[in-house]
Amino acid sequence: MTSSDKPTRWYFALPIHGILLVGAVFFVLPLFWMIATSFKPLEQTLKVPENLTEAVIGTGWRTTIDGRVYEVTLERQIVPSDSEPDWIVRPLEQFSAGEMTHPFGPDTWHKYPIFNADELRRMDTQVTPEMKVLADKTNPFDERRGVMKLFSGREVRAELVTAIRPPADGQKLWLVREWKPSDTDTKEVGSTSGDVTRAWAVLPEAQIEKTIRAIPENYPAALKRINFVRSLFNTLFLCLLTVCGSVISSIIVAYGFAFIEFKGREILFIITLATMMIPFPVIIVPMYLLWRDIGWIGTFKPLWIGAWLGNAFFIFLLRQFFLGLPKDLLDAARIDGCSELELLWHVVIPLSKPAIAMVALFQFLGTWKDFMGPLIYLNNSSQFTLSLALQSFSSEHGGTPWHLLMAASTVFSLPLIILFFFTIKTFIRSVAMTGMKG
Amino acid sequence: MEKSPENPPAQSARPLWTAIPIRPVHIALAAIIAAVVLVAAYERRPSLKDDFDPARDAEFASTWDKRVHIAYWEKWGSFEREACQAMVDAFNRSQDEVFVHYINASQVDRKTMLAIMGGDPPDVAGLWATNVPPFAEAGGLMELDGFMAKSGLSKDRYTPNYLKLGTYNDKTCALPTTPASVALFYNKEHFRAKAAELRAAGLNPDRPPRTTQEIDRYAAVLNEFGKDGKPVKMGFLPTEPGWFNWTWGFYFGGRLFDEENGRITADDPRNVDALVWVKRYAERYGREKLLQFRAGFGNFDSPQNAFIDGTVSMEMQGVWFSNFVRRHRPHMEFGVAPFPTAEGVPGPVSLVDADVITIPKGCPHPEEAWRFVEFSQRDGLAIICRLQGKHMPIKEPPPNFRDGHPNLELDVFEQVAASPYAFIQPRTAVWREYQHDLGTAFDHVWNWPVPEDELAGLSEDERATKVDALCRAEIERTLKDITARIQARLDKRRSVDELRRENASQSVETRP
Amino acid sequence: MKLSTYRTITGYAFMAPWLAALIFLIGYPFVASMYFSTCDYSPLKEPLFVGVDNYTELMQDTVFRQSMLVTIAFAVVAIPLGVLLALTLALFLNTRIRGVSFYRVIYYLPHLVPSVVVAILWMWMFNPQFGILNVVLAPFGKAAAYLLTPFALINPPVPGWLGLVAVIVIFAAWWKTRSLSQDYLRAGHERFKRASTVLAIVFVAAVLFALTTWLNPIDIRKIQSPGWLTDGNPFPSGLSFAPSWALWALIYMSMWGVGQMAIIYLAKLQDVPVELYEAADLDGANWWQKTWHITLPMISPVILFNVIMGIIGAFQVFTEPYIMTGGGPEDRTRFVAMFIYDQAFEYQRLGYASAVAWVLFLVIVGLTMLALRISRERVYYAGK
Repeated sequence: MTSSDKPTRWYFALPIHGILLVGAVFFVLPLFWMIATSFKPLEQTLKVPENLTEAVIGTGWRTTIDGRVYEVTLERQIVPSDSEPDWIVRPLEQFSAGEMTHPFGPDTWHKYPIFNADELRRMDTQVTPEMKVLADKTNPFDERRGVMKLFSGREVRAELVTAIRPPADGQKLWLVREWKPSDTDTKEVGSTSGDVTRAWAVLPEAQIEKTIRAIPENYPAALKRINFVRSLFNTLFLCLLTVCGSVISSIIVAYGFAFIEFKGREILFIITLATMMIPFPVIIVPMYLLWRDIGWIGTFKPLWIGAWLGNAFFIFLLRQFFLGLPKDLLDAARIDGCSELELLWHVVIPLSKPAIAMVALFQFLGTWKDFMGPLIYLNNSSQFTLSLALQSFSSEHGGTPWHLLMAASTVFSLPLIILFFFTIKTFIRSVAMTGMKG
Repeated sequence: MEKSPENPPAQSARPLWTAIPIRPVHIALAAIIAAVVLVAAYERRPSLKDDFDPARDAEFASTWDKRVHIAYWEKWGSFEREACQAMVDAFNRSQDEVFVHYINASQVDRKTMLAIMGGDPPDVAGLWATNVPPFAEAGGLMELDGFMAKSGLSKDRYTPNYLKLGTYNDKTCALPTTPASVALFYNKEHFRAKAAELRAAGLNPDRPPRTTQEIDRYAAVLNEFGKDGKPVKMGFLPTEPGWFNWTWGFYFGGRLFDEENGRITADDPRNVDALVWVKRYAERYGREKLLQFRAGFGNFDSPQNAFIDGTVSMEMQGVWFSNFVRRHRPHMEFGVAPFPTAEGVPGPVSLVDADVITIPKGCPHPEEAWRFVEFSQRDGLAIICRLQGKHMPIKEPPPNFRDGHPNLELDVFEQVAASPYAFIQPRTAVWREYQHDLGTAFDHVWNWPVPEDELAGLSEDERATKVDALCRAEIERTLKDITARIQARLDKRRSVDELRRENASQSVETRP
Repeated sequence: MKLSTYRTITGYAFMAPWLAALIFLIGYPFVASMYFSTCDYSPLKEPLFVGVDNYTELMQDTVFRQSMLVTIAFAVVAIPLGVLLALTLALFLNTRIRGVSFYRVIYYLPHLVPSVVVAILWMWMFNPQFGILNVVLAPFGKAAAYLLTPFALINPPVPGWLGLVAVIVIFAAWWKTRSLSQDYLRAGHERFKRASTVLAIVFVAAVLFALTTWLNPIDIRKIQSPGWLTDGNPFPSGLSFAPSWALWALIYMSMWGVGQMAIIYLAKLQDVPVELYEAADLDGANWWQKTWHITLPMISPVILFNVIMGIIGAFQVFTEPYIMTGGGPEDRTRFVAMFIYDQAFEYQRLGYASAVAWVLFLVIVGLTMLALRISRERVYYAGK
């Protein structure tokens, strides 16, 4: 474990690889889980996967209905008994599909926004004699009279297509319905039940083929829910302003600390360090009142003005770095009659690119991830940043769409990861050169 | 000329400002600062009038500019939000002078408080009844009595408890929009499936339990366990849904706050009885097993809700719940009845709560805000209550309110809301802390360890007595603690307010 | 003009933005909060001076005590664990094996994920019914249960904190005599070496004693399938002020973030002059001796830096518990920062919140001073 020049010998390297690999698995597990979940359907995020395949990717089902192959979902298990059989019937009159699932008629369910547009569409779909429907305990079919009693109370004439009896070999029977990728844009599981426009069938388990199902449609669905473009724009706006501000102000102030010997420099530096010890809760309230008195609550200004005035951590970082630069170069430039600012611009900055990059990266990360600031200072939803938009996913009374939330989270984290990959080289080197001497 | 760092160019004789040479760098820096100042100045707070969405607001285009635009912050999501939007749309359509922007805000109470502090509150804010005392006491809400008198809106039309929720110090600061009351939801399918066992235990499967003792007995029959004793189905769990944990005392006849004397009464012996009853449920089946069982409950607004998917057979829930059940499992056979009280306690007892509508102090358009609030109390109430599937907070709903109302169980909720034994949350400024402490106490009591060997091998009744003997002292101590602490806080608050009043009468007040 | 005047003016010109920040954004709020802490201040009303009332109430507030306990328990466990883990990781990442830069990126990834996402993700992973964590950790849980069962079955009727005291006392004594014995060895006093060996054995015995008083059979059951965020009971259950399972969940989650510290250690590690190692090789030192006597002292300033940052950080933890537990079962994850936030924004007691914040500040300063004091003999500043 020493940084000598020779590469580590293989009998050391192997166990080291092993341990690092195990650790890496633990570190990557949550992220992997986040990405894996973002491609699954909602109901499969709510149970523990039984094997590795289920953990990585969602399960789908495929079967043939009336000669065509469909991707289906298992809507529910059909358990007919000899006393309570189920039937597949063909109605001879027209009625709305919702009458089979709701105890009141179309007039009522149109008056109330309890049902959203999709649900209403499903309920309004007319069931015509070309379609087959499933008659069960809730909508029983009287074989003798040839009449089906709908849940809403109405009775319609119907003819029997098949009676469903318990299968001889004891297999489970499933009601399967056609599945479309757009189904994933839903807050609840099972909201496609009762959609009569889709192909459906009652099949024994053996006829249903289990496959894998990945749903990239989760991403557009998630982004649609939060006002993605607007939030992204707001976040980028803030990031741009804060990064420029932090970089410029920290460079200037750190230069002052490092190269200009003015009276009171030591004390000021110690005060700067001390400010890092102040817990945020101490100043959160008076700071809010300060912005209120200036009248800037509800604007972006409280979130980025501070960056233009300096940041103790970055000042400290850059100062340490500047102290490590060769002094003679600066003296030579001074002799040539440079003013301090010119020195800064022409000599110090070109030498400090890695450290500056690090400050920029840290500030970008910080602003991108910041959630408390926007929460307190922004009031209008058109101003919200990505971190606030993410919060809005978990609704009041529960019912979090995990699959969409994970998709949104991945989108939220991805730019940071990509940015990191591009700047990693400068990053590692620059940390080495800041020479943290404590 | 040779210049060394020790001797800057000889400029000691010239004034200071010419000593600093202007170089391109300086100009660049100045330009950057100027740009920043411009950006800062350019930013305007977004105005409501600019928020015109052609798809949504086309019908108002002609009158858009001459209307006064006001902001209405509300908390709802899902269909409740659409119901409120319908009320807002109805108001916007009914006249030409005001346009209400319905803005969805999660944590609307905190946002509104911060906005009032920041001097930029919305014109209308939809809060929870629990927010009224702290907001009103801090002077954050406009008093509506004057407005009501001017518009001829009588206080008598309201069911008393709902008006009381919006009142603080005898001043009306908030009016109810959608009311709530709670009742017992029970799964008729389970009752039917276990009819034989219920009858064998001497219980009637065709009706729900009427006392807390009966709940215990029904639940005992309805429970189902898997192998290794883990619960698969529970007849009743007092921790579901967990929003009413502070209310159990009321069903045993206890009280939390004595309003006339201003005393906290958490340690009322009947509250202790209630918690002992709750504790029995914790110990009956093993706390850890229950912990795991409960962790698997699905979210409220989903078909995996514990009651909806049949995991729990009986639950205390509110008037909104019928709608959620009907959405997720339309075929479910469930019943609603007034929640049972302990034996000897008059009933029906129910928590009465409401969402309220307020006009924050310092809002830009109070008159226009009142026009909307008034509408919400006249025609608006019927719209929003019906669309949210709730009953109305007034004594006489309009005659066609019930026509095809999606909530088939409205009778029960109206009955319990109007009951003289219905209770509201204590009207005191320290209620938030009090409520938090009560919640913690509930958890503490629920989790308080009772050694399993003490209860092993006992029958149901023996267990009940044993739990009582072991836990009563601890429960009493916990509740006494809370009483002392909250009482101290209340007294302190009163004395500080006294001090404030004295100071105010001596000097002229100005806000910071 | 004189050089020093020129320098002073230029210096302060460069300091100008930071001075503005110090005065307006930090200084004024700092002083203002000191004033508020002596007032009863709720929003929309003026502050009313009440003297030290807030502070006396603070001393008696049991919820405040609970939150300090929670925060300190978190700090005491998470900081040493974090430092140890980060150090080990850095040492591993410092080796010249192939693909080491790949590992470096992997271990830094957690910091690129926003804390809101982290909180939600982990909250879901901790779910005892359908969270992935219990599934993955199951074999480790079973192994731990096997190893710890003997300790759980022996149950001396002694309070758990006695075990803690025993360990600390014996450890301190052993440490002292260890350094002493080095000196005395050179002087030839063998018995001091024997004394320190005896103390080492007693120390191991104290650890075993502590384990037996702390562990109960209920812990063994829970290890195999923890309730995590839903469980507010202390683990180990014999030690009543031990972190609750919910707190352990948060500690575990904070371990996920050691990548940042590790990278900083890594950078400093690469600063260590190679000549030192080569000299040690000449003297025949093995890798442990090299690590203990060269590597660690050389990076000790960074270790100190991270410990101090850790102390400051622990007292400001807010977002994760806020989203994941909201204060936890029975206030068992109510950190001080959350307590302050609640008092300020939920209960609208801004004056009281400021007083608590001030006490917090003093505690942080105190602990930092303590850390600096302890570290004075131990930290080696090369080239200072």
